[in-house]
Amino acid sequence: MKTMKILCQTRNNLLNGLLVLIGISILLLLWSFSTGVEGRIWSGTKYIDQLIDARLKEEGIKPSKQSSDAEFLRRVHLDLTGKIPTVEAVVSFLEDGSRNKREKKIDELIGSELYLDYWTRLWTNWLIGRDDNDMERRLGLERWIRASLARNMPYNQFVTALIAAEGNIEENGAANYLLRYELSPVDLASHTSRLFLGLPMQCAQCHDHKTEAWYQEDFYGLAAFFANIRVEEAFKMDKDSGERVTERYLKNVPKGSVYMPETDEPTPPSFLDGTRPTTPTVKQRQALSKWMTAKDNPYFCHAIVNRIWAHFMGRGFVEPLDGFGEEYPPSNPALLDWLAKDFMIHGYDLRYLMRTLLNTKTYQRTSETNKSNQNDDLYYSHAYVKPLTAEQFFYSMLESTGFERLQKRRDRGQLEEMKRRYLERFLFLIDNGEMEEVEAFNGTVPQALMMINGPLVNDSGSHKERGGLLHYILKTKRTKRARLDQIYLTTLSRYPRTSERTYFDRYLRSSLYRNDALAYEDLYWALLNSAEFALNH
Amino acid sequence: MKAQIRIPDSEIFDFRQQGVSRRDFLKVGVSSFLGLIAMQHLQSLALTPLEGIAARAKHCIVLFMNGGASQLDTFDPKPDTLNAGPFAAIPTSVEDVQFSEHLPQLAEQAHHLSIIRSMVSREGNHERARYLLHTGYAPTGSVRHPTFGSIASHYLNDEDFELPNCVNINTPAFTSGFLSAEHDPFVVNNPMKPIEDLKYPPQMDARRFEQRLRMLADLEKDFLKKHANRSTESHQAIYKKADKLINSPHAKAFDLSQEPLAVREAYGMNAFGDGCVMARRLVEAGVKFVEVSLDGWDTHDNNFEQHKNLLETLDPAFSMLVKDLADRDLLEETIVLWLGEFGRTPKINDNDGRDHFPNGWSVVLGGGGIHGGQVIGATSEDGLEVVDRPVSVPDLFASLCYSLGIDDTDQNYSRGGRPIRVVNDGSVIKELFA
Repeated sequence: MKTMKILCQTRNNLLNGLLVLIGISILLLLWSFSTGVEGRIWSGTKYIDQLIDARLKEEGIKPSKQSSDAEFLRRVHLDLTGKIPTVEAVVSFLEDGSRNKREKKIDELIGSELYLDYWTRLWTNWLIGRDDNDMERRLGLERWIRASLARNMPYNQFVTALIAAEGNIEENGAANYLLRYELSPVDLASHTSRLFLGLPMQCAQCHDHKTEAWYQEDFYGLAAFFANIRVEEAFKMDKDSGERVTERYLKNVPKGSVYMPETDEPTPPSFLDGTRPTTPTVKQRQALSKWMTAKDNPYFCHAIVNRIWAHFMGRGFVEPLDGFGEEYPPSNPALLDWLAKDFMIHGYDLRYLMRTLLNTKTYQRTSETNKSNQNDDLYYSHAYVKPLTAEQFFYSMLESTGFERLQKRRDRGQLEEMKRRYLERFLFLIDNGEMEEVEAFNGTVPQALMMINGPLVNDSGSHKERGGLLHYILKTKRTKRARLDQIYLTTLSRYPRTSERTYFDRYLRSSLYRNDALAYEDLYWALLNSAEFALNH
Repeated sequence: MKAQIRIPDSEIFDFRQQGVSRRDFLKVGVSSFLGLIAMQHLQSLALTPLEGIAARAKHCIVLFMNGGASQLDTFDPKPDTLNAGPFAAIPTSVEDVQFSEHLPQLAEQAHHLSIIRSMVSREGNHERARYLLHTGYAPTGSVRHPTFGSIASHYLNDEDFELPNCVNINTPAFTSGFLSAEHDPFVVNNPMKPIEDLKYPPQMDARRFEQRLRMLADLEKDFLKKHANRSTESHQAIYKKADKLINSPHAKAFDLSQEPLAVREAYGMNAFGDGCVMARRLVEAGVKFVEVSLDGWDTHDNNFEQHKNLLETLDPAFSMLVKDLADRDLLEETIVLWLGEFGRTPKINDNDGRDHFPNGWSVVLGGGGIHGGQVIGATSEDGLEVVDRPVSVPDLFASLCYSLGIDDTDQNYSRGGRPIRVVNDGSVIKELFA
């Protein structure tokens, strides 16, 4: 219908318009058959592009062109798997001549092992943050998340399982979310409303909210839902070992209350719309999860759709992600509403949502700007540059330095330990202590020092280091052309441009090195230290 | 004293409440916006330090007791009361001021220090309180406030200075928030070891390094041109800072092997003691802000044994730092602040421990124009409440700003475009500077 509306806007000749529409529909139908794209995703992506383009037109902004295949591939790998593609993946994608290879790639990556690893880490950090060092809790939660993502559990069920979790903690890993906050009702209310509803309710912990109608009572009413959780321990004989083991259970008890500051009466549980649960106390978290995930809750789908959109597009319609109901309206409310509804209609299917977004022209634009859109940071006229997160950077660096190859030659056993130590060095800065990702790698000098002088980059980039990546490249690729190709593919996931080859020729001549290998060392080093490597663009 | 022009909050927030976007605001309100800028300018002109005293401090050293130290077992002893615990109180170099018996060396420096015994906050959760005591703001989801070191770096920034202006030793640090990434803390994980990767790898020399940097600049020129944005700019800024640091003769301030062993031993020869030595060396080199952390104060059980051990680490390092700064004529221009995220309950729990207590606890200040040898505020005999001169966290931050000559009412814009003051609602603790 929307397509029709737009086509008929001129209203000169309705019949003509209809004929054109039918013609186009047939063509599109044929095309979609030939490419094998699911129609529902196709119509969704198209509609998103229409809304985005209409808005750009209104603003008089000219969008950037579509990205090159290499640019697209690097971006989609970083966004879906948290690291850059392997050289083999780049080469085979660039050689693939089929027209729908981008859709195929998106399908291939979503649900892959790397995808599961990455999104498990992401969700774990979103749920319990990075500075929770209780490994048992972290691993328990990770196992549960990975299993849920692997079977693409609908998002409403995912959230329900977390909020209403109970029972044996060993068996139900979802219970670890509630444990993160030492069962503190106030912290759980604050985090739950931020993450799942996009609402910064924690402000109302200390004072009534400025712009929206949230009062301290609302916040403590929400907190009261979490006031009756207890951890109970039970001892059991392990059948195999005959030893006594402790089992921990998350239980709902009939009592438990929260008090607003400077009040003596406990605040009863109440939903944010002011209504009260009618369920008995021991079932109140089930009631809360039901209220949160209800179809008429305006925040539930909006918050997750906005979060996933921001992850891929570099900026949410609502920023910060928990800024719903704050002073600034969403940048494209119609699109946000539509996405939320579409997500709900399609069964809260996160993979469907991702496929829809990633197949849009909006996502697949180049990040290069033109004169008309270089200042746009609101209307998605180009792909917004995203600094790699600490983890994205770390895993990408492992890939492009051939770290595992190098380390395996030296000491197999220490590989994981070394990985852990390096990652620690990437996580120097903590955020506001409330669970957000450390924003960017490029924020700290120690990490730049590590890239400039550190052994990880310089060993793999040494022509003499046996087992090092550069040593391997120079040994296996004998022509200058092939060597440059390999170095660029390894670091920047693309082939060098002609101008870059020319530059290197000149560098070889002017550097006065007696050994050409030193110039290759410089090149490999420079590319790993470049902004192009450190950013998702 | 000149009157300070204060902009009421309502005038600043009005445009938001009417649902006008930032863009509209700029379009519609250019003239009033300019007015606002002019007012801010006037305001900075009008920033007369209290009673006409010039800002004394050029540097700030924070000693952070991660976990929250017990005020009763340090600077607010309550001998012979129910909640006293086993520690005795000892006299200090200031008459009528007593410290815990486990701070004997620091007691001799008490005349350099001001003790505030009446800190009050509402945050009793580690993460939230730590955020508050680093930024001056309680955490909110929507804004990432800069840590105080980044604020100091932002306002006292010297473009040509080669070392980072904000250094954190021993623990991860909060970020520069909505300020520029170049003010992010430089984190030293272990002061007992040299800074990692500060020197070229063995096969590198200055000339070749220069050549490499030129190659990097040449190769990424095109990319930077096509991607002019905040991310690429901060990447550039960080690399510039790293390059300056690598080549700086001042970088030896980080190298404790250049310090006489006897000095390090006097500070305790451990991570905290060495952190304090490094803090002093960095301040001597010109660094504006250094924070040194000592972890382990969250003593829910076995409070006294754990505190005794920690105090034995704290006492030599803290007292040597103050003494050293004073001996080198650096104390007047360096404000030193000792604190944790909160205090600990006066009441001793069943595990012989003390729990979190934000309702009345102590911080210690010295140097930077602060009048030493005094106690500000008081808690009741049982320690459960503040009975005199409550001091809020913003008051403490406003005082730091005052000492450093930073206008605490100045505003920066959050990523969401919201104007945020350096300190909200804080008043300078006048007694400190009287």
